[in-house]
Amino acid sequence: MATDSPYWNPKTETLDRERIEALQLAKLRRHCEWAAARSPWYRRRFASDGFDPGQLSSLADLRRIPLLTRDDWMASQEAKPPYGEIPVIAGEGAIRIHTTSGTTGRGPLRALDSRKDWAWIAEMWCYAIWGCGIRPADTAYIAFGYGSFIGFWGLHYAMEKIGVLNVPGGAQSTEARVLQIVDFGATVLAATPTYAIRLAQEAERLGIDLGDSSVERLILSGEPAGSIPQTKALIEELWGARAFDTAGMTEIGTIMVFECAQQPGGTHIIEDHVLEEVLDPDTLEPVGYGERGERVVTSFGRGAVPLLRYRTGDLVCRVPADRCSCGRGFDIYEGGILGRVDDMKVIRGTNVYPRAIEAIVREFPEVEEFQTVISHEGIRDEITLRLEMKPDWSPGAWDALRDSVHRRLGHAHEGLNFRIERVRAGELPRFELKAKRMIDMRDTPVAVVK
Amino acid sequence: MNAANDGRAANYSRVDLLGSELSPDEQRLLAVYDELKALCEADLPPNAHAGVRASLALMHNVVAGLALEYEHLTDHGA
Repeated sequence: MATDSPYWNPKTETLDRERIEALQLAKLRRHCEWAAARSPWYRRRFASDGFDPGQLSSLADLRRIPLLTRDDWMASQEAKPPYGEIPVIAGEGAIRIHTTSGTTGRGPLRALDSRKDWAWIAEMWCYAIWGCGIRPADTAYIAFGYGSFIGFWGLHYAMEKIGVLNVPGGAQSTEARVLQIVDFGATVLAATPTYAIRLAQEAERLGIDLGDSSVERLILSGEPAGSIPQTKALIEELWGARAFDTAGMTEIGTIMVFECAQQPGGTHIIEDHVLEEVLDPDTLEPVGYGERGERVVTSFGRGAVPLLRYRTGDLVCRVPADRCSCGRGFDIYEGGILGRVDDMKVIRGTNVYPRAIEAIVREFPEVEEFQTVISHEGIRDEITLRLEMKPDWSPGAWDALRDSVHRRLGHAHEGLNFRIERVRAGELPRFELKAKRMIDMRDTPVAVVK
Repeated sequence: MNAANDGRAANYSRVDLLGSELSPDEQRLLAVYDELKALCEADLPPNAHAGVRASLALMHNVVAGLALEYEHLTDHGA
C-alpha cells in the first residue's frame, strides 16, 4: 500500500472541475435509471413531475429531478410500513437497519443498507481518515455507543479497512474511556466535539494531562462545532492534538465531507461519491460560491435507498477547491456545516445562531458547560445564557466574566441584551452525542405566563 | 466460468466512466470484479457463497472508486 500518498483515491481526488462533473453526470444517469426502475416511490414521483432519466444531458438538467424531503420519506414509511417505498428492497437483501429521529412523532426514520452499501459507507470514511494522515500504525479509540444511531459505525469499519488497531469504546463510563485511551496508547480519538471536551474535563479531574498522552489526532463528527474555530482551538489545546472535522447524516449513511491535513478552515466535499447543491431555502434557486444556502445532496453510494436531491436542512457556504493547498479538486464548505437552516432564532428582530453563541462562549476557558434559553416575558422575547463554571474557578471573578461575556455577545448581535446567569456545578446536561444547548420556550404555555 | 471470461474479454476494450483507456492494473481489477459477480450466480456451498458476496461488495468499492464501473448489486445479493 502506498502509505506516502496524501490521497485515499488519487485518481478522483485530483480531478479538475470539468472531469469531476463528467464523472458525476455519468453516475447520475445510472443512479436515476436505477431509482426509476426499482423504487416504486421514485417511479411515481418521476412520472408525476414529468421527469425521465433520459433527459439528463448535462448537470444543468439536475434541477429537473424532483426534490426529496424528510417528510416525503416519513410519509412513505407511514403509508407502507415499516420501510416505505423509497427503498428498492424491503428487508431481504439488507444487512443492517439504522434509525434517526422522525418528523411525525410516530416513529423514527428507518434506513436500510445492503452489504455493498456498508462497504461504501466505510469507504467514504476512508477518504477522511486517510486524508488527515491516519495510517495503519495508528491506534484509534472510538468513543461511541455503537447503537442504532449510525454515528461512528462507518468510521469503525474504515479504520479496520485501513489496518488501524481499533479500540471500540462502547458501553463505557467517561472515566473508563479516559483510562482506556491512555492505557491503550491511542493515537487517534473519534468523538463528537462536545464529548471530546467532556473527556478532557474528566481527564483533568483524574489528574491526567492529555498533552502527555499519545493522542495526535481527533476525528470530530455529529455537530457543527468541529469547524467552529474557537471550539476547535479549545479541543486542540485540551488534547495537545490536531482536530479534524467531518459531517454526515443517517439519510446518506455516512459522511460526505471531511477536513484534510491542510486544515483549510472547511471541509472538502467527497465529490466523486456525492453531488451537492447549495440552494436558497426559500426560492430553491442555486446560490453562488461564497453565499450561504441549504445543502441538497444526491448520493451515488447507497443503492438500497436511492437518495436524489435530498433537502438536508444544513446551512453551508461553498467555496472553490483551490481555497486549500492540498491539491484536491473537491470543493469546500467553508466553516463546515454552519448549522441548520431552521435553527436561526429571531430575538427582537436580531438573528441569533447557536453556532455564534458557542464561538463566543468557547473564548472563556473558565466555562465548563452552557445553555441558552429563549423565553417570552410580558410583551417581549428574552434570551438568557446560563453558564456553569469549572470547579476550580474563583467565584470572585464572576462579575468581570459576566460583563465580558455580555459585552462580547451584544457586540456580535447588534447590541442585543443577553441575560447572563451562573448555575450550580452539575446543573446543566452533559452530552455524548449531539448536544442540544439552545432551548426555545416561546411556544410553551409556561413561558407565556411567567 | 464462460460468462466470467466473456465479461473479462469485453472489459479489455472498455474505457472508464471518464472515457479514458483502462490501465493494465485497472483491467485486472475489473476482471476480478466481473469474476466475483459471475461466481455469485454459481452453485457454491454457503461458506463460499457468503465469502464471494462479501468480496464482491469490497471490489465494488474499488471499481466504483476508480470510476471503472458504476452499478448497484442487490441482484447479486450484495
